[in-house]
Amino acid sequence: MNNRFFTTRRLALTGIFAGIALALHVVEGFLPPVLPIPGVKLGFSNTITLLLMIWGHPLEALVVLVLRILIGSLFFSQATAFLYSLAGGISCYLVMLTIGKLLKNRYPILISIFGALTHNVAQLLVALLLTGSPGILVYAPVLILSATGAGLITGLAAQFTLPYIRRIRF
Amino acid sequence: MQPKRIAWILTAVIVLLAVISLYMIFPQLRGLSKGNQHIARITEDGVVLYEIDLDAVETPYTLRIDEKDGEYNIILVEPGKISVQESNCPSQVCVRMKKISTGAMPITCLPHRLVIQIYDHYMIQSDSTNDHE
Repeated sequence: MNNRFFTTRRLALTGIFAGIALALHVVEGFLPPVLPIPGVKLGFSNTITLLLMIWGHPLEALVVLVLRILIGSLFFSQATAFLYSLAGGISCYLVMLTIGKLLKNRYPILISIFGALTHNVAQLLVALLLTGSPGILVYAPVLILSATGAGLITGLAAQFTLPYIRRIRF
Repeated sequence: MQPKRIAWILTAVIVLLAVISLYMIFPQLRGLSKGNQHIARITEDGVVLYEIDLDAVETPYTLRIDEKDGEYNIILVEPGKISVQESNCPSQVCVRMKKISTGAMPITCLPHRLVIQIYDHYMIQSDSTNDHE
Protein backbone atom coordinates (compact mmCIF):
# COMPACT_ATOMS: atom_id res chain seq x y z
CA MET A 1 0.00 0.00 0.00
CA ASN A 2 1.48 3.32 -0.92
CA ASN A 3 1.67 6.19 1.49
CA ARG A 4 -0.36 8.49 -0.67
CA PHE A 5 -3.51 6.46 -0.24
CA PHE A 6 -3.34 6.16 3.53
CA THR A 7 -3.02 9.77 4.55
CA THR A 8 -3.11 10.45 8.27
CA ARG A 9 -6.72 11.49 8.07
CA ARG A 10 -7.71 8.40 6.16
CA LEU A 11 -5.79 6.16 8.53
CA ALA A 12 -7.55 7.67 11.52
CA LEU A 13 -10.99 7.36 9.92
CA THR A 14 -10.28 3.75 8.95
CA GLY A 15 -9.33 3.00 12.54
CA ILE A 16 -12.50 4.59 13.87
CA PHE A 17 -14.65 2.61 11.47
CA ALA A 18 -12.84 -0.62 12.29
CA GLY A 19 -13.69 0.11 15.91
CA ILE A 20 -17.36 0.75 15.11
CA ALA A 21 -17.59 -2.43 13.02
CA LEU A 22 -15.99 -4.45 15.81
CA ALA A 23 -18.32 -2.99 18.42
CA LEU A 24 -21.39 -3.81 16.30
CA HIS A 25 -20.05 -7.31 15.74
CA VAL A 26 -19.39 -7.96 19.42
CA VAL A 27 -22.69 -6.49 20.63
CA GLU A 28 -24.57 -8.54 18.07
CA GLY A 29 -22.81 -11.64 19.37
CA PHE A 30 -24.23 -10.99 22.83
CA LEU A 31 -27.81 -10.75 21.59
CA PRO A 32 -29.82 -13.97 21.64
CA PRO A 33 -30.15 -15.45 18.14
CA VAL A 34 -33.32 -14.59 16.25
CA LEU A 35 -33.92 -18.18 15.16
CA PRO A 36 -32.18 -21.22 16.61
CA ILE A 37 -30.72 -22.14 13.26
CA PRO A 38 -27.00 -21.88 12.61
CA GLY A 39 -26.10 -18.98 10.35
CA VAL A 40 -29.24 -16.93 10.89
CA LYS A 41 -28.11 -13.52 12.07
CA LEU A 42 -28.37 -9.86 11.25
CA GLY A 43 -24.76 -9.18 10.28
CA PHE A 44 -24.94 -5.58 11.32
CA SER A 45 -21.27 -4.83 10.86
CA ASN A 46 -21.85 -5.30 7.15
CA THR A 47 -23.46 -1.86 7.20
CA ILE A 48 -20.01 -0.43 7.89
CA THR A 49 -18.44 -2.35 5.01
CA LEU A 50 -21.17 -1.08 2.70
CA LEU A 51 -20.92 2.52 3.90
CA LEU A 52 -17.16 2.60 3.45
CA MET A 53 -17.43 1.01 0.03
CA ILE A 54 -19.89 3.63 -1.18
CA TRP A 55 -18.71 6.71 0.65
CA GLY A 56 -15.05 5.94 1.20
CA HIS A 57 -12.93 3.66 -0.89
CA PRO A 58 -13.26 -0.13 -1.46
CA LEU A 59 -9.74 -0.67 -0.16
CA GLU A 60 -10.68 0.88 3.17
CA ALA A 61 -13.78 -1.27 3.35
CA LEU A 62 -11.59 -4.34 2.83
CA VAL A 63 -9.10 -3.27 5.52
CA VAL A 64 -11.91 -2.67 8.01
CA LEU A 65 -13.57 -5.99 7.13
CA VAL A 66 -10.40 -8.05 7.57
CA LEU A 67 -9.48 -6.25 10.79
CA ARG A 68 -12.96 -6.83 12.18
CA ILE A 69 -12.91 -10.54 11.35
CA LEU A 70 -9.39 -11.02 12.73
CA ILE A 71 -9.95 -9.18 16.00
CA GLY A 72 -13.51 -10.41 16.32
CA SER A 73 -12.46 -14.06 16.11
CA LEU A 74 -9.61 -13.47 18.54
CA PHE A 75 -12.11 -12.24 21.10
CA PHE A 76 -14.72 -14.87 20.76
CA SER A 77 -14.09 -18.05 19.08
CA GLN A 78 -12.03 -20.80 17.69
CA ALA A 79 -10.41 -21.46 14.36
CA THR A 80 -13.53 -22.83 12.69
CA ALA A 81 -15.52 -19.67 13.38
CA PHE A 82 -12.70 -17.64 11.87
CA LEU A 83 -12.89 -19.72 8.70
CA TYR A 84 -16.64 -19.18 8.44
CA SER A 85 -16.34 -15.45 8.98
CA LEU A 86 -13.53 -15.05 6.51
CA ALA A 87 -15.21 -17.09 3.76
CA GLY A 88 -18.50 -15.25 4.27
CA GLY A 89 -16.92 -11.82 4.64
CA ILE A 90 -14.58 -11.91 1.66
CA SER A 91 -17.08 -13.39 -0.77
CA CYS A 92 -19.71 -10.92 0.42
CA TYR A 93 -17.24 -8.08 -0.11
CA LEU A 94 -16.41 -9.17 -3.66
CA VAL A 95 -20.06 -9.52 -4.67
CA MET A 96 -21.03 -6.18 -3.10
CA LEU A 97 -18.13 -4.53 -4.92
CA THR A 98 -19.19 -5.99 -8.29
CA ILE A 99 -22.87 -5.19 -7.85
CA GLY A 100 -22.01 -1.75 -6.51
CA LYS A 101 -20.01 -1.06 -9.70
CA LEU A 102 -22.89 -2.26 -11.88
CA LEU A 103 -25.39 -0.08 -10.01
CA LYS A 104 -22.97 2.86 -9.77
CA ASN A 105 -23.33 2.61 -5.98
CA ARG A 106 -26.99 3.52 -6.02
CA TYR A 107 -29.59 1.28 -4.36
CA PRO A 108 -27.56 0.29 -1.27
CA ILE A 109 -30.39 -2.03 -0.20
CA LEU A 110 -29.95 -4.22 -3.26
CA ILE A 111 -26.18 -4.30 -2.82
CA SER A 112 -26.64 -5.27 0.80
CA ILE A 113 -29.15 -8.06 0.08
CA PHE A 114 -26.83 -9.63 -2.47
CA GLY A 115 -23.94 -9.35 -0.04
CA ALA A 116 -25.96 -11.10 2.66
CA LEU A 117 -27.05 -13.83 0.25
CA THR A 118 -23.47 -14.47 -0.81
CA HIS A 119 -22.33 -14.46 2.81
CA ASN A 120 -24.81 -17.16 3.80
CA VAL A 121 -24.25 -19.30 0.73
CA ALA A 122 -20.47 -19.16 1.25
CA GLN A 123 -20.83 -20.15 4.89
CA LEU A 124 -23.13 -23.00 4.01
CA LEU A 125 -20.56 -24.26 1.52
CA VAL A 126 -17.80 -24.07 4.15
CA ALA A 127 -20.07 -25.92 6.59
CA LEU A 128 -20.65 -28.53 3.92
CA LEU A 129 -16.90 -28.95 3.47
CA LEU A 130 -16.21 -29.12 7.21
CA THR A 131 -19.05 -31.42 8.27
CA GLY A 132 -19.11 -33.46 5.08
CA SER A 133 -22.83 -34.08 5.46
CA PRO A 134 -25.02 -32.99 2.55
CA GLY A 135 -27.99 -33.12 4.96
CA ILE A 136 -27.27 -29.58 6.10
CA LEU A 137 -28.25 -28.30 2.66
CA VAL A 138 -31.84 -28.37 3.91
CA TYR A 139 -30.93 -25.15 5.69
CA ALA A 140 -30.43 -23.43 2.33
CA PRO A 141 -33.98 -22.05 1.86
CA VAL A 142 -34.12 -20.73 5.43
CA LEU A 143 -30.70 -19.16 5.03
CA ILE A 144 -31.69 -17.52 1.74
CA LEU A 145 -34.84 -16.03 3.30
CA SER A 146 -33.01 -14.86 6.40
CA ALA A 147 -30.27 -13.32 4.26
CA THR A 148 -32.86 -11.39 2.28
CA GLY A 149 -34.35 -10.03 5.51
CA ALA A 150 -31.01 -9.26 7.12
CA GLY A 151 -29.68 -7.65 3.93
CA LEU A 152 -32.80 -5.50 3.72
CA ILE A 153 -32.37 -4.24 7.28
CA THR A 154 -28.64 -3.54 7.07
CA GLY A 155 -29.14 -1.99 3.62
CA LEU A 156 -31.82 0.34 4.97
CA ALA A 157 -29.53 1.28 7.84
CA ALA A 158 -26.80 2.15 5.33
CA GLN A 159 -29.19 4.14 3.18
CA PHE A 160 -30.38 6.22 6.13
CA THR A 161 -26.84 6.83 7.34
CA LEU A 162 -25.32 7.81 3.98
CA PRO A 163 -26.68 11.40 3.74
CA TYR A 164 -25.28 12.20 7.18
CA ILE A 165 -21.96 10.46 6.79
CA ARG A 166 -21.38 12.23 3.46
CA ARG A 167 -20.99 15.47 5.38
CA ILE A 168 -17.68 14.15 6.66
CA ARG A 169 -14.93 14.89 4.20
CA PHE A 170 -12.69 11.94 3.56
CA MET B 1 -26.84 -1.04 -19.22
CA GLN B 2 -28.61 1.55 -17.13
CA PRO B 3 -28.24 1.08 -13.36
CA LYS B 4 -32.00 1.38 -13.01
CA ARG B 5 -32.56 -1.51 -15.37
CA ILE B 6 -29.99 -3.66 -13.59
CA ALA B 7 -31.67 -2.80 -10.30
CA TRP B 8 -34.97 -4.14 -11.61
CA ILE B 9 -33.34 -7.34 -12.79
CA LEU B 10 -31.60 -7.80 -9.42
CA THR B 11 -34.87 -7.20 -7.57
CA ALA B 12 -36.52 -9.83 -9.73
CA VAL B 13 -33.71 -12.28 -8.88
CA ILE B 14 -34.22 -11.67 -5.15
CA VAL B 15 -37.99 -12.14 -5.37
CA LEU B 16 -37.51 -15.31 -7.40
CA LEU B 17 -35.03 -16.73 -4.86
CA ALA B 18 -37.37 -15.90 -2.00
CA VAL B 19 -40.34 -17.56 -3.72
CA ILE B 20 -38.32 -20.70 -4.50
CA SER B 21 -37.12 -20.83 -0.87
CA LEU B 22 -40.65 -20.50 0.50
CA TYR B 23 -41.81 -23.18 -1.90
CA MET B 24 -39.10 -25.49 -0.60
CA ILE B 25 -39.72 -24.72 3.07
CA PHE B 26 -43.45 -25.43 3.14
CA PRO B 27 -43.37 -29.17 2.46
CA GLN B 28 -40.52 -29.39 4.96
CA LEU B 29 -42.59 -27.83 7.69
CA ARG B 30 -45.76 -29.81 7.37
CA GLY B 31 -46.57 -33.40 6.74
CA LEU B 32 -43.13 -34.86 7.07
CA SER B 33 -43.81 -36.44 10.47
CA LYS B 34 -46.07 -39.06 8.94
CA GLY B 35 -43.27 -41.21 7.59
CA ASN B 36 -43.21 -44.81 8.78
CA GLN B 37 -39.73 -44.75 10.15
CA HIS B 38 -37.71 -42.24 12.07
CA ILE B 39 -34.04 -43.05 11.93
CA ALA B 40 -31.78 -40.53 13.62
CA ARG B 41 -28.33 -40.45 12.15
CA ILE B 42 -25.58 -38.78 14.14
CA THR B 43 -22.53 -37.84 12.12
CA GLU B 44 -19.28 -36.17 13.00
CA ASP B 45 -17.15 -34.84 10.16
CA GLY B 46 -19.44 -36.74 7.82
CA VAL B 47 -18.70 -40.07 9.53
CA VAL B 48 -21.80 -41.85 10.82
CA LEU B 49 -21.40 -42.50 14.56
CA TYR B 50 -24.86 -43.76 15.47
CA GLU B 51 -28.04 -44.71 13.74
CA ILE B 52 -30.98 -44.90 16.11
CA ASP B 53 -34.47 -46.06 15.29
CA LEU B 54 -36.43 -43.53 17.32
CA ASP B 55 -39.67 -45.51 17.09
CA ALA B 56 -38.02 -48.44 18.86
CA VAL B 57 -36.89 -46.33 21.83
CA GLU B 58 -38.95 -47.07 24.92
CA THR B 59 -37.18 -45.35 27.77
CA PRO B 60 -35.29 -42.10 27.32
CA TYR B 61 -31.50 -42.29 27.59
CA THR B 62 -28.52 -40.07 26.96
CA LEU B 63 -25.51 -40.54 24.76
CA ARG B 64 -22.24 -38.79 25.37
CA ILE B 65 -20.15 -38.04 22.33
CA ASP B 66 -16.60 -36.94 22.93
CA GLU B 67 -14.90 -35.12 20.12
CA LYS B 68 -11.30 -34.01 20.06
CA ASP B 69 -9.82 -31.44 22.47
CA GLY B 70 -12.32 -32.14 25.24
CA GLU B 71 -15.29 -31.10 23.11
CA TYR B 72 -18.44 -33.02 23.94
CA ASN B 73 -22.14 -33.20 23.22
CA ILE B 74 -24.67 -35.01 25.37
CA ILE B 75 -27.56 -36.24 23.30
CA LEU B 76 -30.96 -37.07 24.74
CA VAL B 77 -32.80 -39.87 22.95
CA GLU B 78 -36.51 -40.19 23.69
CA PRO B 79 -39.30 -42.16 22.04
CA GLY B 80 -39.70 -40.50 18.64
CA LYS B 81 -37.57 -37.48 19.57
CA ILE B 82 -33.94 -36.51 19.81
CA SER B 83 -32.18 -33.43 21.10
CA VAL B 84 -28.86 -32.13 22.34
CA GLN B 85 -29.07 -31.81 26.09
CA GLU B 86 -25.69 -30.31 26.74
CA SER B 87 -22.69 -29.17 24.77
CA ASN B 88 -19.56 -27.24 25.57
CA CYS B 89 -19.59 -25.41 22.25
CA PRO B 90 -19.52 -21.61 22.35
CA SER B 91 -22.66 -20.89 20.33
CA GLN B 92 -25.10 -23.33 22.04
CA VAL B 93 -27.22 -23.27 18.89
CA CYS B 94 -27.48 -27.05 19.00
CA VAL B 95 -28.94 -26.99 22.53
CA ARG B 96 -31.38 -24.20 21.66
CA MET B 97 -32.75 -26.11 18.68
CA LYS B 98 -34.76 -28.20 21.16
CA LYS B 99 -36.20 -31.58 20.29
CA ILE B 100 -36.64 -32.71 16.73
CA SER B 101 -38.95 -35.47 15.61
CA THR B 102 -38.98 -34.97 11.84
CA GLY B 103 -36.43 -34.54 9.10
CA ALA B 104 -37.47 -30.92 8.54
CA MET B 105 -34.52 -29.36 10.39
CA PRO B 106 -31.42 -31.29 11.33
CA ILE B 107 -29.64 -30.30 14.53
CA THR B 108 -26.18 -29.05 13.76
CA CYS B 109 -23.37 -28.27 16.12
CA LEU B 110 -21.07 -26.53 13.68
CA PRO B 111 -18.24 -25.87 16.14
CA HIS B 112 -18.03 -29.62 16.80
CA ARG B 113 -18.91 -30.59 13.21
CA LEU B 114 -21.74 -32.74 14.51
CA VAL B 115 -24.99 -33.25 12.63
CA ILE B 116 -28.09 -35.06 13.85
CA GLN B 117 -30.56 -35.72 11.10
CA ILE B 118 -33.76 -37.72 11.15
CA TYR B 119 -34.45 -39.72 8.05
CA ASP B 120 -38.05 -40.67 7.66
CA HIS B 121 -39.75 -42.62 4.96
CA TYR B 122 -40.19 -39.60 2.72
CA MET B 123 -36.52 -38.67 3.03
CA ILE B 124 -35.20 -42.13 2.31
CA GLN B 125 -37.27 -42.25 -0.86
CA SER B 126 -36.12 -38.92 -2.17
CA ASP B 127 -32.56 -39.68 -1.13
CA SER B 128 -32.23 -42.14 -3.96
CA THR B 129 -32.93 -39.48 -6.58
CA ASN B 130 -31.30 -36.54 -4.90
CA ASP B 131 -28.63 -36.53 -2.26
CA HIS B 132 -30.25 -33.87 -0.15
CA GLU B 133 -33.73 -32.57 0.63
